[in-house]
Amino acid sequence: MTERSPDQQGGRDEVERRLAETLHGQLDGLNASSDLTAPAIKRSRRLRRNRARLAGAASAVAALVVAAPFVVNGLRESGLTGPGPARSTIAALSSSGTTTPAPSTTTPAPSTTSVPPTTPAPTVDADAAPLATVRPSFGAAARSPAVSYAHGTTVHDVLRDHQATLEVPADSQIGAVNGLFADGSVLGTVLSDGDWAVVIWDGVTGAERTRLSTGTVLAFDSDRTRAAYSDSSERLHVIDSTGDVVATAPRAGLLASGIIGDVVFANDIRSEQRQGYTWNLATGALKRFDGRFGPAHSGAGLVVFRPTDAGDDACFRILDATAQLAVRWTGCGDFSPDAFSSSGGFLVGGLRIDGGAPYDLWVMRSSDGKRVLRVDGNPSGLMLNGRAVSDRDESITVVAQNADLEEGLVECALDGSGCTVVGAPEPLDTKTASGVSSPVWQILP
Amino acid sequence: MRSDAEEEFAEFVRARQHALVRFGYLLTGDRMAAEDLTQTALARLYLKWDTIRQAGAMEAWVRRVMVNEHTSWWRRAWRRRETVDFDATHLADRTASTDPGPVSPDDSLWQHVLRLPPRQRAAVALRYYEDLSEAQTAEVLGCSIGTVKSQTHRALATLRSRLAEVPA
Repeated sequence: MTERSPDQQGGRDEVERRLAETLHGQLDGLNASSDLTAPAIKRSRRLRRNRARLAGAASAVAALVVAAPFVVNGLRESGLTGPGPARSTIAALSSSGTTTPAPSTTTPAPSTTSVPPTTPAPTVDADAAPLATVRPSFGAAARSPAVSYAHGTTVHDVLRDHQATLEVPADSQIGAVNGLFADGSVLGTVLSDGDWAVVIWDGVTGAERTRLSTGTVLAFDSDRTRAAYSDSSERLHVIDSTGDVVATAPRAGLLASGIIGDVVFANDIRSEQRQGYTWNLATGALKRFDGRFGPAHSGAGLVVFRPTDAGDDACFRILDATAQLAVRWTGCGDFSPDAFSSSGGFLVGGLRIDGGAPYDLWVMRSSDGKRVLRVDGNPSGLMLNGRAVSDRDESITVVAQNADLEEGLVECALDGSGCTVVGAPEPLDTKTASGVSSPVWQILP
Repeated sequence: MRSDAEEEFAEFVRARQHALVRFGYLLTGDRMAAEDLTQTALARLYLKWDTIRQAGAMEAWVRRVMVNEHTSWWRRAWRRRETVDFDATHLADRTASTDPGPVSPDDSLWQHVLRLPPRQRAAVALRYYEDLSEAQTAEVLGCSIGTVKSQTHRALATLRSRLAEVPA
C-alpha cells in the first residue's frame, strides 16, 4: 500500500495539491486510541460463535419440532393465529438447554395456540451462489415501467392505470413518496424549512390534503387503510388515509418496520440494546424482544428479525407472523436483507463486505431462502437500491444510481435472461439549498 | 497463550491500525466511527486470517472491507432518504461529527470532502492520501479502473465547483 503511483506524482493542479495537503493535515496526527487487536479478536469470536450456535440451534430445533412444534411468542391476541394445540414456548426451549433460535420475550409468554411450521426451520447459507446473474447498464429507456412508481413529483399508479402530479410548494422539496392508500391518496414526505413533514396528497388532483407534524412514515398495513408514522417526539402512531390518528403506541422512542394484521413491528431507537417490540393494535399490548425487527411484508405475513445475541448481525431469521412468529428459515452470512419485493415473494438485499455491496443486489425466495438472482452492477458502476423492489411478470424492477449521480430504473428477469432500462437515467439535483437531493425515481410498494 | 496465527494477526494490527483508523476517519469524518469501522474490518479479517494471509494482501483486503462496510452504512442512509427515519438523523450525526479532529490548514475543503458521496470520497482518499494508482484503487474499491476515473473526476469537479462558490 506504500507504493507511490507514477500517475500521481506529476501534473497535479492547484486543487489536487491543496486536496492532498488538506487530507494529510487532517489525518497525519491521528492514531488509534488503543491497541485494536483484542477487541477485534473478541468481536470475530463472537461472530463465529454465534454463527455456529445458530446453525446448531436450527438443527436442534428441527429435531424438537417433530415432538413439539415450537412457537416464539404469543400473538394470539392479534387474531393472526389459527387453531392448534397449545405448544411449548421459546422459554421452555431455553431452559432445557437448547439454544434460542428465535426471539425471546422479556415478559412471561401466555399459553399460546400455535400453527407449527410445516417443515423444520432450516439454516441457509445466505452467501451461497445464486442461480443466475444479470448485469444491468444504463441507456435509453426501452419502455415504461410495468410497476407503480414515482418520477419526480408525478405518481404513476400503473396497477390502476392512474397518475397524479403532487403539489409541492416552491420553497420545499419532495423527500419520499411512500405509497398509496386504498382510496388512492398518496402518502409521503416533503422537506420544508429544514424539517421533514409527512403529507397526504389527493390521489386524483395531487393537491395537498393533510400535513402532519415532522416525522417518519414507514409502513402500510395489508389493505392499505392504515400506515405507521412516528412524529418528531418519536411517538409511534397509526394513521388512516385522512391523517387521523387511529392508535398511539404506549411507549415513546419506537420506529415501525412493518404492520402485519393488527401487529405493528417496531424497534426502540433510543436504546443501545437493540430491542424490538410488537404492538398489538387490537389489545394495545406491547411486547419486547431481544433483537431488532427488519423489513416486513404485510401480505406475505413475514418479518425479518435479527437477535441481539447474534453478534455483528451474523444471522437473521424470517418469521411467519401468521404462525406465532415461527421461524421459517435462518440466513447466516454477509447477506443483509433490505426489503421484501412488492409481492412478498422475494427478499432482496446486498452483501455487506468483501467486494459485494453496494453494486450487488441479491434476490432470495422468501419461502425458503433459495438464491434466485444476483443483479451485478459492478461492470457498469451501478449502485442498486434494494429498499423498494417490485416483482411482476417474472421480473424485478430496481432503482439504480451511477457514478455521475444519475438515477434510473432497471428491470431484470428473474430467470437471468437480462435487464432492460425502463426509467431513463437523470441527474439528481445536488445543489438544493438543503443539501439533500430529491429522488428522481421511486418504486412504490 | 496466544496461537501463532493470533500473534501474527496482532503484529499486523499493531503495525497498521493507525493507518487504517486514518483511512476510516477519512471515510466517516468521525473518530469513534473510524475506530468502530476499523475494528469491524479487522474482526472480519481475523475470521479469514489464514486465507487472506496466504494471499498476501491483508491491508488491501481490510481497506476494501472498510469501504464496503462504510458504503453499507451510507446505503442504509440512501434507503432512509426514502423513508426518512430517525436512524438517518443518528447516522448523519455520526458521519458529520462535531469531532474537530486534527487541526486543518483548509477546513472548508475538508468539509467539502466529507460531503462527497462515499465511493467518491473513498476514491479521493486512496488517490490523494494513500497515493495509490488507479489500478490499486480499483482493486481496493472492487471496481474497474474506468469507474475509479469517473469517481475521481466527479469528486474533483464537485470540489472545484464548491471551492469556487465559497472562496476559502
